[in-house]
Amino acid sequence: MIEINNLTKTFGNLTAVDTINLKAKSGEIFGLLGPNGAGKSTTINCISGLVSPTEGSININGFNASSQSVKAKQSLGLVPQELALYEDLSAHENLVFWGSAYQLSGNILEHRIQQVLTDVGLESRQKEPVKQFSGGMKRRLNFACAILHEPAALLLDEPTVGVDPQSREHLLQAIIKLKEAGTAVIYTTHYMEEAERLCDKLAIIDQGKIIASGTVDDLRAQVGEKDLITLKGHFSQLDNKTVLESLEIEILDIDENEMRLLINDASTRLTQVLDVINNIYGKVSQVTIQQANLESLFIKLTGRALRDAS
Amino acid sequence: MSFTKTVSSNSIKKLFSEKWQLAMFLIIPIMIGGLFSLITDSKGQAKPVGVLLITDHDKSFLSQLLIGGFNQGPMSEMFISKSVDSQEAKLLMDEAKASVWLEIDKGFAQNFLDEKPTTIKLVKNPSQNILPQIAETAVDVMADGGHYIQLLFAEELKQFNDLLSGKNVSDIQMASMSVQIKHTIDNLEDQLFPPQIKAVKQKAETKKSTGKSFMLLMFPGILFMSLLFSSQGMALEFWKDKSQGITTRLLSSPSGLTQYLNGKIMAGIFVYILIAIVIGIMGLLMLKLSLNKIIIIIIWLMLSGLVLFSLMLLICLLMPTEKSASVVTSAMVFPMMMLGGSFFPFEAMPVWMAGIGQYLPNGYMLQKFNLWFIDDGLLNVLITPAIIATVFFGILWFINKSLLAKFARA
Repeated sequence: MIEINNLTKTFGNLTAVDTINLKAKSGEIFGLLGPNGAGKSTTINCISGLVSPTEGSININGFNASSQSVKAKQSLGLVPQELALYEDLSAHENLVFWGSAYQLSGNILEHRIQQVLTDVGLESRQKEPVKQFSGGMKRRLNFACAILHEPAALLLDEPTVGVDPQSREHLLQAIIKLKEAGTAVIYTTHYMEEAERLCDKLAIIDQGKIIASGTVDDLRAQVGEKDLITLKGHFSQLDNKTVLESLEIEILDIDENEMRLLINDASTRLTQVLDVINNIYGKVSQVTIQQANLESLFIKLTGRALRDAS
Repeated sequence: MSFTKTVSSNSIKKLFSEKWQLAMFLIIPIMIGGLFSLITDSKGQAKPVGVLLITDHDKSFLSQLLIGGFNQGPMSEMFISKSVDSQEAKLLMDEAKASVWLEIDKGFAQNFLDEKPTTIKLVKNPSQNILPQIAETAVDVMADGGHYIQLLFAEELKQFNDLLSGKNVSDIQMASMSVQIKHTIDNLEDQLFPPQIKAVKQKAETKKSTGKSFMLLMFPGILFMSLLFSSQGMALEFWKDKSQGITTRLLSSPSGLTQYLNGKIMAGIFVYILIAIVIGIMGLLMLKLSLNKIIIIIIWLMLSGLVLFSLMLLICLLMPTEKSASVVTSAMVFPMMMLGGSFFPFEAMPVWMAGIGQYLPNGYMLQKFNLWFIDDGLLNVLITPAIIATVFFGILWFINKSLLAKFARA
């Protein structure tokens, strides 16, 4: 279990993490969702001991991260966003290195190495130098190094960034397997589909603060069953919102070139909506319809798209 | 396997996978030492050698005597004499293929004996300094000497010249000439050997000349040059590990950075022992060093290497980037080698330079090493290694306590 209470981290005048509380139980994946620079990685770095929190407490598997740091670290696995591998050494040698760092040795270490190599699909490549691996294979090995010692809690900081579909699937399957084995996982990402697929609980973080949290269903309910429509074109009379509101269309974001709306049953009402918009605001050149998702919620909460927000 | 051992074995594996780096630790110092030895003579003394052109128009006993001065003793080691005519001499001097040209005019001996002014022409190569100056001084000394000989033995020299010129000299004349020379010397005995000047033999308490070959003098320098290169290389490994995310991730592991540092030190000890063995074997074969010396060399180099490693590491960790760490440590290594006795033995340096060099870390350790290695003095078995170990542990304590975690987080 990972429990964070009132975690705050400041760098000079910048508050990177602002009074965050969260709890990831055993067998649970807790997703931290937010754009780049939102404070996800700083939160992960505080939990893993890479940076010291300014305020607040962190407990990992019942051990306080400050006063019982060695035991807390022994209970924790970290998959950092940046690779942490010796390029000149083989996959096996890298695993021996990281296994030793977590006090594994002898047959137990070798057994675990073979197990995690199988889990990430690299058992046949274990003797090759890492520098010969593809980016996806390196990501998988990076992940394997973190789970060698069977940690009770695991931190994954955007582990699938820049990963090919095959490697991504390997990683996601391995994470699900860990969850089923009872590991408490904190998973940061800005990929909505990953978060929705993996996470039991989610917190949306922006500018260092949690702006929404709960289960995926809880968060979806905040958006309702509405679909997200994104319209592109050249728009004017942007202040005139009464007509749309009278049609029960929720305006998330509107400017001269783009409009984001939440609407019930978008597929059947699309023609009606487009007629109104063409008459009042101007010509629409492109329409995108998405089912209600976490992206919609993020836009609703912040007025920005996740990928735009960074 | 403990984490320290793993770090150590990984570092060694990486070192052997980068064979050129390993070779650099050994080959460059050996190459430099070898080249320096090659430019010295077999006795290990580097001396300039130049070409002396001689044009003797007089071909007399006295002119031959003058030329003989350049073909004897230390002068003969500095100059290769070559008899040439004037034309060839001018040509060679124009092409700067000789250091000095000595031309003796016809009538030189006769004028000398007749106490008339006479000329010796000395042409110096302007592109050289030392050898022409030596030749000029030698000619000056000979001219002065000639003047006094003329004052004392003018008559005898005339007779001797006649003898060599083929004029008949009887036995009586020869005996008379010898007696006359003896009388002159006897008369001058008081001036030449005044009784008030009493020679007192006293052993000067100057530093005794080592009498060792240049290669032997260079040998410790080569060892310390190797230590400097390898220490720099191993300290920079910390930056390579950081750039690969290793040190940062280690902050989240229970083993932490202290064990990592210990592992790197163990790898360093292995490298220093390896260097000492390889270069020591060369010493064994080329300089006929005893096996006991090799064992002490290994221990000494291990300690000295660790001090240099901790110094280099300190600098590396204080630098903001890998590149700046590399530039600054390289900028340190070369002057340290030059001043610290690795390029030139302290004995071959100007006093002020040796004074600075002997207080640089590598220079100090080398100087102490030389006290035992070259001068066969007592090995400061306790004091110097204790100083070295104290310095090492002090720097390391500071690195572990204050620098390493900051470095990993930065």
